[in-house]
Amino acid sequence: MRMCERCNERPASVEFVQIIGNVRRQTYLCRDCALEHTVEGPIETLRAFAQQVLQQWLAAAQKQEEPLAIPEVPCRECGTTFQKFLESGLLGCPVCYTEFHDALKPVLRRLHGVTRVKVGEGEKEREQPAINRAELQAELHRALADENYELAAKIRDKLKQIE
Amino acid sequence: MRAPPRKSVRSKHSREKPYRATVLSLLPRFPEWLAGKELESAIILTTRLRFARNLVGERFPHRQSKAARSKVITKIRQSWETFSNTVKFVALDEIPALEAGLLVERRLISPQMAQDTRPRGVFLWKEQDISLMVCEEDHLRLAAILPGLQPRKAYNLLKPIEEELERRLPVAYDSEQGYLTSCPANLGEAIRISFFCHLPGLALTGEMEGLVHAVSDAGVTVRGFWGEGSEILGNIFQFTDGPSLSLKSEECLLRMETLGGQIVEREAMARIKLQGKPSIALQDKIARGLAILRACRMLEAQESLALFSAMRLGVDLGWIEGIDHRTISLLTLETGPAFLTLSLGGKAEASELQTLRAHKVRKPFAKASFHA
Repeated sequence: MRMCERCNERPASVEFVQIIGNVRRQTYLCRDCALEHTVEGPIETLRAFAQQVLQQWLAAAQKQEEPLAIPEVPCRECGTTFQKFLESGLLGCPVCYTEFHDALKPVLRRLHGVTRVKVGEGEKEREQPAINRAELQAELHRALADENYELAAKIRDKLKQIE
Repeated sequence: MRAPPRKSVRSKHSREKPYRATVLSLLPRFPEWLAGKELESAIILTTRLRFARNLVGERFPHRQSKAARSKVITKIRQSWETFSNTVKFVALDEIPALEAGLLVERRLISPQMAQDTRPRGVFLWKEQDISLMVCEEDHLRLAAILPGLQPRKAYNLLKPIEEELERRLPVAYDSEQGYLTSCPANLGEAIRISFFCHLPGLALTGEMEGLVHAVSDAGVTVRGFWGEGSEILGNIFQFTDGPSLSLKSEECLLRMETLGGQIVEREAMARIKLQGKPSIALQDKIARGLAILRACRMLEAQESLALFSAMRLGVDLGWIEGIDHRTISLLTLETGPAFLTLSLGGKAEASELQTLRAHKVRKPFAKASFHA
């Protein structure tokens, strides 16, 4: 008899199914555990989806024996490593997107099919800052930490321009 | 139909600490999304839409220390103090788990957020159809729930609030990747739309697979209980859209409106099939269910979910009269464990909950009758 995958004590009586794209994941649960397992959960599922995609990508890359371009240097802003991101599916801060810009491209391609938002049409609703605000903010932090006030002033001016 | 507030419970708590009154004041009121028109919310019970946003210069919540989180929360609270006096902030690390449980039952916070122990909170709108979670997976998660298939209305409801948020707080945005979110699957407009559906027809006719096959492109996620014995959990399924970096808001809305249309069409066809060839077993199940709801003296949570699902189907097939979907949705909230426990003063034995649950369902179902 199949046992409940959650409590491992009672026999499983229902099957919880999660289908993301064409990947299907089943969990067999007893009635008691099933009740605690809410059907709702869009937040968790997308992260699970990202983790799944990352694992598939790693497995595929290993099979082809291609050297994976995994950056070794952690994000200068928050210290998150790319390896850590591959495991958790979560980045550490907005600056990670700049720090891991190139390494993230294949990930984004697998997740979204593209690596950037559409350019041009329909942009009227939002004024696009020409330069990444988060990136500048981080640079400003670093410049101040280094006591490089000349650079900090320049960055501050740039930030003001954007705003 | 509506339970009177337990005054003693509210005043006891509100005298101790004022913030508690905010969660407990939800007890006698019910969310606006219960007020859906009968037909439009018979299959897609609710539409949920949410925006994810993060602050510039701050780590994402999962990488923040307690102190940094508290700082971010204070910053967000300060910028929102003047927003509206019908929007209240609740610090989730300062309320009992039971009250957080009530917020989950009302779908104002995620179950994951209730379980977390770090500093986090939620802004609650009086109507309980909008909430703004602070320090969940992202710094800001603004969500709305509406009855039936209404992604566009949900978007129009939230967009002005989202714009106000961006005016008041420095939000991380990149010209290449859109709104920067802690999980890269949310990049782009960082909008996520999901439907909460009641699909007994597809479940009973075994046609769920067909629907899933039809919609399972572009990373659409389907969650629910399948197969034999799964009706015990209410035949509820959730559909969520997939990653959408390349999509504009308008395209996200269109994509989900189309998907919603397909779900409604297929479920309606399945129900027509059930109606055309009524099986005596199905009739027995629904009639028997009604008899239990009219007579029970104790009722377990899981049994009530299964019975409510059967009653909804009975109403839609025209076999049950004298009760509507809205009443059943209301009863679902009124018989939730956290709600029942709180209305019993915050502490209750399982048997007390079952007795109170049975008491709550008997009266409304006494007016219902079965004809087939």
